[in-house]
Amino acid sequence: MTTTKSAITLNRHPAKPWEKTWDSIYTELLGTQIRLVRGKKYVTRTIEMGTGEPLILIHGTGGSAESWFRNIRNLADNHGFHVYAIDAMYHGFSSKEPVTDDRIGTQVEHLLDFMDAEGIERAHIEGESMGAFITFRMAMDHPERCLRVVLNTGARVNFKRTFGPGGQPLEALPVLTQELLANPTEETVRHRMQWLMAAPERVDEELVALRLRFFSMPELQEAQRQTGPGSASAARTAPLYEEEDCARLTVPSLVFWTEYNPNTGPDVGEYFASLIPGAKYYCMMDAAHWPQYEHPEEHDQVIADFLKGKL
Amino acid sequence: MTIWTDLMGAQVRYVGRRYRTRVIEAGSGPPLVLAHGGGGHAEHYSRNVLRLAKQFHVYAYDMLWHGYSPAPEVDEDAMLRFDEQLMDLMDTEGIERAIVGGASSGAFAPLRMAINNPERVRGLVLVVPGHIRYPAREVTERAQYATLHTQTHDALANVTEAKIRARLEWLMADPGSVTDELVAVRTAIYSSEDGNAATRAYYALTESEAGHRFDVTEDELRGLTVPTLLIWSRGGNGVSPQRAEWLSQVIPNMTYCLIEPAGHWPQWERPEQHDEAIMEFARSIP
Repeated sequence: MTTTKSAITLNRHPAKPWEKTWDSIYTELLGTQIRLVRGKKYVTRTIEMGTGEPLILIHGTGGSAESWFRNIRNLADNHGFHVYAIDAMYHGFSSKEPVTDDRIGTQVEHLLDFMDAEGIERAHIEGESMGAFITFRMAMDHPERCLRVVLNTGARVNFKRTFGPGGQPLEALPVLTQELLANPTEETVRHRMQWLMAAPERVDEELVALRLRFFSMPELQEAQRQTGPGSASAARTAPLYEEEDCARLTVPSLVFWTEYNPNTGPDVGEYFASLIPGAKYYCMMDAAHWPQYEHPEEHDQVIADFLKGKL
Repeated sequence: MTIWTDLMGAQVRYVGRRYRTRVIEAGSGPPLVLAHGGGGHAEHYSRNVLRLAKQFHVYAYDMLWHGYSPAPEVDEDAMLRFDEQLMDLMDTEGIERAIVGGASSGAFAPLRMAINNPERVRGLVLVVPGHIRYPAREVTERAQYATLHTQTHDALANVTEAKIRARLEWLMADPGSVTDELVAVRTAIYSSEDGNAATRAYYALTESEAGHRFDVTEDELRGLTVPTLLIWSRGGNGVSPQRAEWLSQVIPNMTYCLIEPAGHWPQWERPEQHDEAIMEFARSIP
């Protein structure tokens, strides 16, 4: 195996070992449905389980519905939701064209198309990172389709104050993504995924294999080249909300942050929550940018409490 | 390689009006519907679905009393439910005609459909088929099946990964072919309350007289009108060549494929050979 030198050295946090061992993706998701939903305009892959109020889960950039593989069964069986983890537009097995300048806006159109196709009038929505950008825009533009929203480690807001540093150097994600796109190997995928975690050993090898498969798909590579971190369009992704805009959000919101979030630390999350009327705030300790995977049961309990109005 | 990465791009859905049958599905060609063996589940075909999907619209389904498909009441006619389930799946999916196939006891529904409704069957794939009135079985093979019987009931009575693994190893020519993940999947199904009860109900049925009322006779085999592919193995349990020879003599219009080394699960241990045999068979059907 050839070793390519990465330009990035990631910080390592004093992360605790997990107390529980987790099964493979397939085993954790036994009994779920995995469907390709054909809407009027777009295709959406969804991993689905349960009955009850609909809860749509949207992953971050470069990810896929499997980002929630440790949560879907628990949220369905033990917390009583009808869970849909979807591949966002430009990701996984969902539609990837056309790539527009208003990328988040198109991803919201895709989400609406999926909800219409499934007959979902209103849903709880949780988005992680890029998924939080989509969820925030959805709640701003289409509050009538949202029950409650969880904004997990993502805020595309032009904050007026300065904050302390995040858990990783700011240039890390664009560089790691571009290194991966230039040379998709287990090594570059793993390094890119380590950015998500409080400790590098948290990256599961099956997830690396999965993501390498995705990043070996030419249409996904092209979509990431055009929309991913470090791409030209990512820089001009509209809209960048102003602080004042947050006051217009009427959907009950939970801002969910983490101790070691790589680009923006807990001070950002807490401030973001303070700008949204009535928003709740939660900071998970011992986690970075994949809290739903780093501590699944805690994540699920917190969001279930919030979605049921108990937080 | 894991089951998830093997199945990347496939769908898992529940289909059917009469029965809510779980299917693993991929591809867009002519339909191919496959049933797993007794005590199994659709993941039987997790190494095959995507390769077969290059040529077929593949459906690998959980039989009744298996996996995540329903477990209806067991009565005198219970064995007829298998054929009804396959028909229900095809009807609701709008499949007029398909290549239908099954492994071991899973061959029963496709066989009954080929006998009773040949107009729905473009081709029949039999992998070491069961539920056939074979002439007296060879002694060694009978002893192998007795072991399987004990292993199955041991595993169901007290589900542990070790017992599930032993039961799965019986299926393989090389016990090392049993992966931890396969053990985990089957353990999850067998240890769930519903899964355990359904599997017990299935074995109680197939070990009763009612379970063999409709077993396929020599005359029925001789009367088959559809093109048939027989896949047999050498090197494992429950694959006595005598049975293959007999089937070759009685089934008209039959293609024979021997896979080795393999046992009861050639589709898992030699997936390329198994799939290529089916793809070639399909190409040979006018």
